[in-house]
Amino acid sequence: MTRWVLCAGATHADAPANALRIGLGDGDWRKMSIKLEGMEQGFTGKLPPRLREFICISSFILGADGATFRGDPGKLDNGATWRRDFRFVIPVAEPDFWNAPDVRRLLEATAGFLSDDSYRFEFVAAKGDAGRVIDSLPPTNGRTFIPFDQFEEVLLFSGGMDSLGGAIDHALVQKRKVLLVSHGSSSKMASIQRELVTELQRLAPVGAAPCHVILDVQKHDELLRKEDSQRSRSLLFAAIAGAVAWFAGKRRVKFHENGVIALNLPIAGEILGARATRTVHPRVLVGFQALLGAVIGEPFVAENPYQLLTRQQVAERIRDAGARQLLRHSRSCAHVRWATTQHPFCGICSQCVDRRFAMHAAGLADEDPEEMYDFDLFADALVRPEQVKLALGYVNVAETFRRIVSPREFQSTFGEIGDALPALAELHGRSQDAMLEEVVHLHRRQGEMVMGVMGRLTAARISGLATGSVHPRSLLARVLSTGLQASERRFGGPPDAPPATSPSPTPPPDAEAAAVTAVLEEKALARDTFFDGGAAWVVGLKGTKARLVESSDGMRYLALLLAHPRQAFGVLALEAIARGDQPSDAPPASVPGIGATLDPQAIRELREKVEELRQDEALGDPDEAERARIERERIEDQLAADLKLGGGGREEPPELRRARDRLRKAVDKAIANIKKRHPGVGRHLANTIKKGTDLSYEPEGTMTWRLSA
Amino acid sequence: MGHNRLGGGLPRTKRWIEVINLVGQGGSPEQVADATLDATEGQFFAAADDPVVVRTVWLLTQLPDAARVGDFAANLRALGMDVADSPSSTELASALGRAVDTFATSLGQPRSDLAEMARLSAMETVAAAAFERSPGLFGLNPDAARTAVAQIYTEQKFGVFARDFFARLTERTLVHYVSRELPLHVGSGERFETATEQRAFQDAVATHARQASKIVETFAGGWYSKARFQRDLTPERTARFIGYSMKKLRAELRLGAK
Repeated sequence: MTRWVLCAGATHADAPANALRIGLGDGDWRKMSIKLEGMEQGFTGKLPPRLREFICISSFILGADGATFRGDPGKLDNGATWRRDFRFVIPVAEPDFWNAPDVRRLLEATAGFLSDDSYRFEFVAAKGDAGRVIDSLPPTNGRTFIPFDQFEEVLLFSGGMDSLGGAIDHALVQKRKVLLVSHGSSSKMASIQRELVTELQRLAPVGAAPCHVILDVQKHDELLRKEDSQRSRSLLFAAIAGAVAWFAGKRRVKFHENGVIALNLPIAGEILGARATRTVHPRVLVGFQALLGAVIGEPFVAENPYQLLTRQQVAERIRDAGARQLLRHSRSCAHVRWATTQHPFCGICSQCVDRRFAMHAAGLADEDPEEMYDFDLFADALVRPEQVKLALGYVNVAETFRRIVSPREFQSTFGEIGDALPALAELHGRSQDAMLEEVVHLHRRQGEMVMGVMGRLTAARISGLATGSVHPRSLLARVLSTGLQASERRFGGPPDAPPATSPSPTPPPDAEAAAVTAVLEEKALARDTFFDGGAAWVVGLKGTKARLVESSDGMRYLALLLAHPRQAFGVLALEAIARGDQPSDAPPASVPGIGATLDPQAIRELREKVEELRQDEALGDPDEAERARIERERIEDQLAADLKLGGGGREEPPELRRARDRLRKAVDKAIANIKKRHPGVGRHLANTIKKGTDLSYEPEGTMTWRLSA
Repeated sequence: MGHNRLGGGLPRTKRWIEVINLVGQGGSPEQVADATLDATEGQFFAAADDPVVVRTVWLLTQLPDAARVGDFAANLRALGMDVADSPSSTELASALGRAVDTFATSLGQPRSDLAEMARLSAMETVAAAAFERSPGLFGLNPDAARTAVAQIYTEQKFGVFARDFFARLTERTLVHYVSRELPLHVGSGERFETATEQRAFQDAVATHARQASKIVETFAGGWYSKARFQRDLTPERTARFIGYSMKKLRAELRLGAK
């Protein structure tokens, strides 16, 4: 259904009674206002009328965008509610200019591609001056008047990592005087932007301190805030930035956005069109510069200097500029409104996901500590469907990027790139073929970056899967094998690499991780498996899938028992072997004795002595307590050995009892853990591990365990 | 910037629940594809009535003759494709997408998801076909694109060309829906242990679509040759061809699920 939008008091004979009436300033309409903070001088009064009207038109588009609900994202209606059909009637001073087919079609096409909607515009003659469209606020931070003639560049500045990188590149590295134009989407965001600019001003060399203008678009009417996707808003930013540039005598504005996000290829099949934002898509930039050029009457340039960089590369540029400390103050999070001082990032919006990967890849994780995120992308449970799909989609598409090597394959996999190539060619002055190659390389870098981070983090945090610090429904757990494959490729050498001439008895961590991966990826194990995978144990029965189990002493005891079926191990012997104090092929049920078998009287006396020594330990001074402890342990060992060697004492010494309790608990806990991860192995061990005076593994029939990686 | 609009899983209606259950409980890619199309039946068959889809396929039918006779670039421009004098395969695909886009905009009403999927599929098909005679990975040359497109006029080549388009459109349609659900079944104890398994399943759905689209290849070449001979490669006749193709394709996909 067509949505009529009557702007600034316009009327139309065909418009229905329920048409949206919208305007800037006071009037009989849904009210919006635009304010610019940081500019004391009258802004709109000096602007050319067309430029002022372009700001008005962009505002009306944004207002209608916000007032028209796109429907439930989960609704499957062939896109009928997602895409809207707008018909605008807008009063302007020069209707002939705006109604000219070239201009009107350009506006319809640019807005249409930006927001995925259908637009029709009818411009009518305005009655008198539409008045001030932008209110200037009093200067803040002691600023008085912006010296427009001193600026070399006008940059859009969101306060996110990429725009911060752009500001640093210009102000700190190139030492150029820049004017930063921000949209303060909330008071919190405006505050963050101000703080970043203040810091940039402090760091910039003399004469290159940036100035800052904050755009504040207010939708005073609740109805204008029904739809929060706001895909059209960058048109208004471009219009404002163009106006600021005009004041500064410049005919260029720069949008800094890394190329992967700027192109924003879909991370999942359900995402079509502008469901993936096109805020600074090359085609949109070409539209902006064409519109601004037409409005101003001179060639105008809208460019994205980071079009061919990944976010990792942007982070590295900031680091190399000596401004890494600013990174943690940048904000790209979509949920800034809900940010807290403790957790300024939500951790699970598109921007947070990309940021975390980029910071890890750039070796800047220390500037991006986990604690800053409300949600640990890698280890926390992905619960909500959107979270699962976003995180998995991000990694899945990265894997696709990494695998594609040829332009043909890329273009025939991501048809969407065809919408960008003509614009990229125009913006960069190169052929579409050349730009396609650049795009392929860009996305390969992105794919390598993401999968490399997955590989490293999986190798580093694999033990967390067993201990519970990494949730089984987390991103790491769900992508485990993919990540480890990447780890193998990047750090363990190619699969067909020649074997080392003198193999190390202990495999390097990455080789070990690769071996673990290989076993974990087997759909059905060829053998019963129980081995130490480094940070966790790998267990499974023949014909089942392997599982990871937390490392513990109990797992080591079990491995020893499995290695020696039907052999009885004394508890002290088992502990000694597990500690490495005694070789595993030593007589299993004994430890070296300390003397002859004791008679009962001697045992009684020794026990009394043990109790005396305990009291000494508890009451004596530190030196005396230490001597008492050593003596007590020597006696207890003697008693324990005597018992084991069949001496006269048949009453179990306390130390031995404690050792047995300790060992049984360790084994029981290990079996319980195994049951949680692999019930089959758990049941088998519960039935076959005998825990009498000695411990032994008593399987029925023959079990041949794989006991090493 | 860089945001994605993702919904929850598939709707909890009777037909979609069947799809969800198949995904979660070990249904084959063929069964999932079949149930998905059952749930979306109306939208899949709407292709023949969608003017943007019809325009897309019609433009595909016009490319071989544009490449065979006269000035290739001028012929393409006459079709609404904005190209340079010697368009490369890359430019050809981009220009086709833009031409469809311009057409859709000119209708003055929002396009459908299916229309957008058809547009993207057509761009991919042209990119794949026009690159065919390129000498190497990066060794593109404009003559190669023209030569490759010109050869599509044969009955056999057009069959392959049409099949590729319908395979991509079917795959995109299926993945558009099932991608809402598949990731929700990844993890320990779930249908897919890891994301790798999920991708493998999605690849299997794509393979199924490609195999089923073989049926299009069997008649598309004949249809094209006849219509071309009769000088009747019109949008109306193209619409009937699309309707027939979708019907046959649907039957083939159903057969594969049994």
